[in-house]
Amino acid sequence: MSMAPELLGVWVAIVAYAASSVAFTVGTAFGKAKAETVAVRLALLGLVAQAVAIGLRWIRIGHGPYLGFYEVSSLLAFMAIGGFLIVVRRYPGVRIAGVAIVPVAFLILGASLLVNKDAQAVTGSLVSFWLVIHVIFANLAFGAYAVSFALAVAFLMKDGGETQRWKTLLDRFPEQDVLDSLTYRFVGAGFVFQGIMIASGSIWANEAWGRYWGWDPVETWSLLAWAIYAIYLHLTLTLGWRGRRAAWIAVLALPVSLFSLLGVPIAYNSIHGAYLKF
Amino acid sequence: MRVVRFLRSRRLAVALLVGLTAYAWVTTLVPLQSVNPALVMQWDIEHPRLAVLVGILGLHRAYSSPVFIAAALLVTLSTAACSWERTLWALRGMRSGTTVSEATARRIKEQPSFVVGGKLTDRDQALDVAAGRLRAVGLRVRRGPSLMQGTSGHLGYLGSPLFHWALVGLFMFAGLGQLTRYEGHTNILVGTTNQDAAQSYSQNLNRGRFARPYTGVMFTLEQLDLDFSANGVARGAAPLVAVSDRGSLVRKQWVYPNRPLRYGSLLVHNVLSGPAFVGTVKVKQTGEQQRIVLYFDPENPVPGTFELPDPTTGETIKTAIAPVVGQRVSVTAQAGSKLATDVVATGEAATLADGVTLRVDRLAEYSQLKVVNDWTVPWVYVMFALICVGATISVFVSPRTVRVMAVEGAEGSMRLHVLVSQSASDPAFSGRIERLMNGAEDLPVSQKHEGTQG
Repeated sequence: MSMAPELLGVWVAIVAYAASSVAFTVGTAFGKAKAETVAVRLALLGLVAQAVAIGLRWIRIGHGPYLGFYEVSSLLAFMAIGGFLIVVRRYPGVRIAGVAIVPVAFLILGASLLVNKDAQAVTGSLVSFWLVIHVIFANLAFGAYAVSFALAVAFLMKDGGETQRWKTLLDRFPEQDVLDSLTYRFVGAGFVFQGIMIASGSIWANEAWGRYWGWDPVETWSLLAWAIYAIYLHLTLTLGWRGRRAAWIAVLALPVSLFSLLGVPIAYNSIHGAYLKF
Repeated sequence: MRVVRFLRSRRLAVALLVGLTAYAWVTTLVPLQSVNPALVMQWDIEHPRLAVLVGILGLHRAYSSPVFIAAALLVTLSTAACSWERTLWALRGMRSGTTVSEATARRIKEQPSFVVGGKLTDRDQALDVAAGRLRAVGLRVRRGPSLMQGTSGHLGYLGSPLFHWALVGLFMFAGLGQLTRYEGHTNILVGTTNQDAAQSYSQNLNRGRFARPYTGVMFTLEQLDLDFSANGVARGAAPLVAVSDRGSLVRKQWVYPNRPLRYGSLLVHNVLSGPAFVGTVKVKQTGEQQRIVLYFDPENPVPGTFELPDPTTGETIKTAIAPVVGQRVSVTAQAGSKLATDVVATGEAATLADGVTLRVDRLAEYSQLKVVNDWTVPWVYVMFALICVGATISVFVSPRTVRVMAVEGAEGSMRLHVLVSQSASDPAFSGRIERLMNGAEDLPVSQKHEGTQG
């Protein structure tokens, strides 16, 4: 099977995410509710196109999207948009948060196209049940964190926008306590998912290499990201940090999470580097 | 007592978490000895000035440094103190779901979260309306004559203690593992046996301070398949390893990635497999014989070397051996200014110097096995599982209690005093209950009492 159909799907997704980002920006800046509706539909179109592309590639190469920068980053973008659209379906009022999340997904997916897209061979150490668990929960964690990031951005926009000219628009946002509570819930969900990811990765490492933790850069950065979200939860639950300060942590933690997933194997000489080849 | 108060301080917990996160970040800036020793050497050469500072701070060995160990110990103690406090809190919370103390009853009456009502005059009717509202949001309601209690998610009280105790357990077992484990690499020729004993681990032996004694079991490399495949997937080189304990065969399996051999607390992985050379050096003048065994790394094809003194001149004979195609080896010997190269097969001999020969006894294959003995690993897994369960409960199950007391107003109308208890994870719950109660047509009018949500 040729690679062309799946690439077409990816390009449709990129264009849809780009257009969605523009529509969200217009909707936010000029208070156009219709632009937001269009933006959500475009994001959904991109998600469907990307799902088709991922499915076609899976059939063509015989394994899921977890090997190499192209596959990993593409799936992360998919999870971020998927998570966002699920939240929008449940809470339509938070759709404006797409102005933060869709551009991030667009950039991740765009970056994935800049690298080698050839299928990588599944070597012996990759044939593991734990890999499946590890990858699934890594993506779920990122999806949840990405949504928490978008909700926190929406919270901060609403928080800082009371005296600004788009107050009318911000009034359409859900109440701040709802945004705050949802941010907490998505950080909590991401924290649980990432915990399962780290645990399954540790078990897999012990099966493959004979040690469950080795302070490899990928492991350390993954723990770092988890610890930052643990700090968020601790501050929220025990010291009563809510609102603006907590939202800032949720916003600043996402780049760390993204770096731990995509940046570390590139920036460091890591045993995990083989799974994220360019 | 002051120490316990200090340890269970929430600010200390956050400070330690932030401190360890920052420390972990700093350690990512330099390579670690335990991860890649070659990279450490290279980094030190490339950064000579920074290397001095990094050496003083011990950052190349960041996770075995006294600073880290002390911090990890403090985190463990702090987490244990917090866990104890959270356990008491959970027990109190779970008890509160079934009983209402006099103090609580007084609080409902005098300091409720909010008050609703005013239209209905019948106590039972007012409580019935409120009970219906609470049931509608999934609360389990218990009714008394004038007091009613709605609860849900009491399992949620267990989440935080479970998470924190499991974290303590993880730290403890991981620490115990570091102290009592040993691991080493042992090279075994096909058809030969090595024992789980100190002399077998010539490479990368790493023993904890209180490592357990070697088990003495025997590892036999029965076969080696350099192109092993299982379930249709190429697994690379895989040895067939048999384990014997006190003369009895107890395990036998092909060892390849993700399928290590397990026996008791022993875990055996195959690190690499490749060609090996077995030969004998004979010195004619003295009649001495010396057995030489060299192992070659197929990923890093460098010749194996050994040195011995020349009995005639007293100079050192430097010998390098490398496998060549066709089951032969090339032998290069340098004694003083003399340099000689020979290619020989099994049973043949090469001359290293006058009266010194090297006979090829066997060109074999070998596997380097990594043997780890760590009894704590299954317990670490159990702690991982409990951490995930505890975090899940803590995040997704919020314990909630709503207590409602019917109090007769001045004009004989019933007013409902409502006290809402919620976990910090769902601060919006109180607001939802207030809106819900106010939504009841029979129960209008709301008087908010600030600062009473607990």
